[in-house]
Amino acid sequence: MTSVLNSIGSRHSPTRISDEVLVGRLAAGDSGAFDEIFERYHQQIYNFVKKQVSDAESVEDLVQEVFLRVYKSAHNFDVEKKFSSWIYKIALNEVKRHWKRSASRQTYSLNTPLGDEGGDTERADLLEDQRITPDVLTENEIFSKNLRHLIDRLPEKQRMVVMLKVYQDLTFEEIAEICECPLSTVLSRMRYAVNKLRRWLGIEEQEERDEA
Amino acid sequence: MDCKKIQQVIYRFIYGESNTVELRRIKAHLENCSSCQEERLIIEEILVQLKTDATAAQEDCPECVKDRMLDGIKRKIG
Ligand SMILES: [Zn+2]
Repeated sequence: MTSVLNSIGSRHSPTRISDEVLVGRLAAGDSGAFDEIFERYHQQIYNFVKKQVSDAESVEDLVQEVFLRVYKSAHNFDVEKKFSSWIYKIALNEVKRHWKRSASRQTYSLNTPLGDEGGDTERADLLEDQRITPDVLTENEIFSKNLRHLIDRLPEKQRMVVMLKVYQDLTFEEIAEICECPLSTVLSRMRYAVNKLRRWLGIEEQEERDEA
Repeated sequence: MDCKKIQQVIYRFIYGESNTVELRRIKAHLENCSSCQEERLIIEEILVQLKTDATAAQEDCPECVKDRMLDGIKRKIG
């Protein structure tokens, strides 16, 4: 259990140079630092973007854009912050810009900046839920064991939290920073998302039991 | 901590992100509340399924794609 959920620490070796130091070196003009940053993060960013964007060519372009932004903005990086949060924030912005450009992706109002809400966040998230949740799942979805399809049906903001938590192994605090919203909002979104998946999976189990 | 509060912090607890004070309070509650304990186990089970599925879905960025992207970046950097 613990090992499955907490696979985070293993990728950090205590002896290696921290990401934050590397960005500092990059800002000071060390191009070798950029290569190292790319080496460390291209896989994660590639996977993150790939999950949000369907066509392969755009994925490659977007990943390039993310690292170009890192290169060009290294001097703006706040050394008090975590680099991983920073690069994911850049990646998320690039993905959102891509969605705006491309009409192909049909989701709810992408003009609403992620996390830009007032005090009534929980209610807003709930309303958003009702808007996006399919009343009836297709047969394929009901019987599919594949959670990925279900995750794709989650409201955008909730899906993003699940993606960053489960797929990218970030902490909730990092996610709050990336989404520019309070920690409590991130936790609520996670809770709504899991509860919804639970309900959907509940339908699945019920259906299977009926069939048997 | 009451059950409602537990709901709000349980995910931090499950992922080992609670601070010391919070951790102690959550543990104390869970030891005495079977419904929250049960809830926790259900959530953990779902999260394990999600993680397993995520791991299976993770595709390595092919070496050629990696090289192509890095070349593209280097060209733009100039
Ligand atoms: Zn309780």
